[in-house]
Amino acid sequence: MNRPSGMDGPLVREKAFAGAASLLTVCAVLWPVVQNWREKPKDGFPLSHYPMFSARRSKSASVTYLVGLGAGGGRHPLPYTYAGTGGLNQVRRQINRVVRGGKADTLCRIVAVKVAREERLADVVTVQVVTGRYRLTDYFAGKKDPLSEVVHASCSVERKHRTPLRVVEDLA
Amino acid sequence: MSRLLGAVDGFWFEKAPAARPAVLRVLIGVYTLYYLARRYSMLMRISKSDPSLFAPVGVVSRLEKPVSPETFRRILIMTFVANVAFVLGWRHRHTGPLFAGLFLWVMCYRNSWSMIYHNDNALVLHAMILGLTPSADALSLDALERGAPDSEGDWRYGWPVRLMSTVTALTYFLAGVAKVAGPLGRGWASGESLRGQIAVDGLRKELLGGKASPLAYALYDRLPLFGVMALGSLVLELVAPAALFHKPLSRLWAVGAWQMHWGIFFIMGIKFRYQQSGLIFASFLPVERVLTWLVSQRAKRS
Repeated sequence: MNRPSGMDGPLVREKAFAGAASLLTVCAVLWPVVQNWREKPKDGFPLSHYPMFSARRSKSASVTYLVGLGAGGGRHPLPYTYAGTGGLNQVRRQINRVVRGGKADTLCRIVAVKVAREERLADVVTVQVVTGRYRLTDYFAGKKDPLSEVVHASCSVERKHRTPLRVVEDLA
Repeated sequence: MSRLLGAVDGFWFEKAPAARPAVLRVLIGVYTLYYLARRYSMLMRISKSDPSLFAPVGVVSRLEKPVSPETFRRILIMTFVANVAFVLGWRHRHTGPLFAGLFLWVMCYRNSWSMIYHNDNALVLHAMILGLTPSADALSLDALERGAPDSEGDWRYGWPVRLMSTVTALTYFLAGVAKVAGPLGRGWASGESLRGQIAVDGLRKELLGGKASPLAYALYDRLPLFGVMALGSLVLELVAPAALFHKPLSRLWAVGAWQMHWGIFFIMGIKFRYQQSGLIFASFLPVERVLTWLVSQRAKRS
């Protein structure tokens, strides 16, 4: 190895170590880039290929969500916090996973129990786990009805009944 | 060959005062402490989630099932303690790597429940770099004990800071590559995909009990504007590594990236706290000058 002038042995070794550590870190951070060309890319943490904004978006989108139906037929969108812990996107993914796993009924019951305890939702008699498909242009023009809706689970809200609320116990 | 090595040496091992990584250590250490403290209850609740939702990533990916909530609580408390030692610069040679390892573990575990929060990637990498390098030779209990090093600077304090900036730039670069390598290729810059992304995000928020940003509604029909934003962000991301080689340009780049995150916040309502606070870009600046300024202000007053 050619040394820049004025460098002694231990200093070269120390710099070589720091350089190798740096190179290793840079390679590790860059390594996930290969996922972009894999058939089934796998994301990781804290090393990622940052796929979040790269997907092709169609003119419509499907979302799975919770709805409360009132006695008079009114609809109440139920917040994601009834379904799980964490941020909106984390719980959204968890809802998708639960529905894919065929446990929509269990999730529906858990949400119904929580709704039963909410005074402001006293009107809600039924809870549904639903996937709705929306045309984005219509939605952002104020036409907020879905193109289609699939009800995965529907359950009534029992207001006298009390059961454990923990998702962990009921879904496990 | 020796000229090339000399150039690499001068760039990567540029001298910096011990106070530079030390200020970064304190800033980022206080931030991680705030991050963990603010989320303590949420992290504990997550640790009690349905085990079927556990999708381990990173260093916890070898776990076949989640650890017990009690084990997680103990690890979290150990991380807090190590974090405080990291901020104070107490026995950094041991507590620095300990904090780096524990923080990495906790953050991987936190991201192992069906959703990866990419905005935390750089924070973890920065904390690890500072934990594993001599960032406590100034502004620390260790420095009080041993005495402060030469204020003229040393390469040993320069390269970790350079590495932090490089890691930051590379994360943006990878995000840019993902867009170009994705199904739309360079067509991503047309803005249609960005608009779709913003619209889907707003739709999800509204259907799940949140609120889409009013700007998402106001701007939806202005596709050319999304084109400008898409092209701008793509260029910003792809040029990130090149900007590292020119100091003023790298600072200009950091300002652009910082503005991009504020733009995302206003249009999508997504908070990138580490990025919006500017802390992610602190390694691009001679942050130790803040200390000099504070000292001079104090001297003026007294």
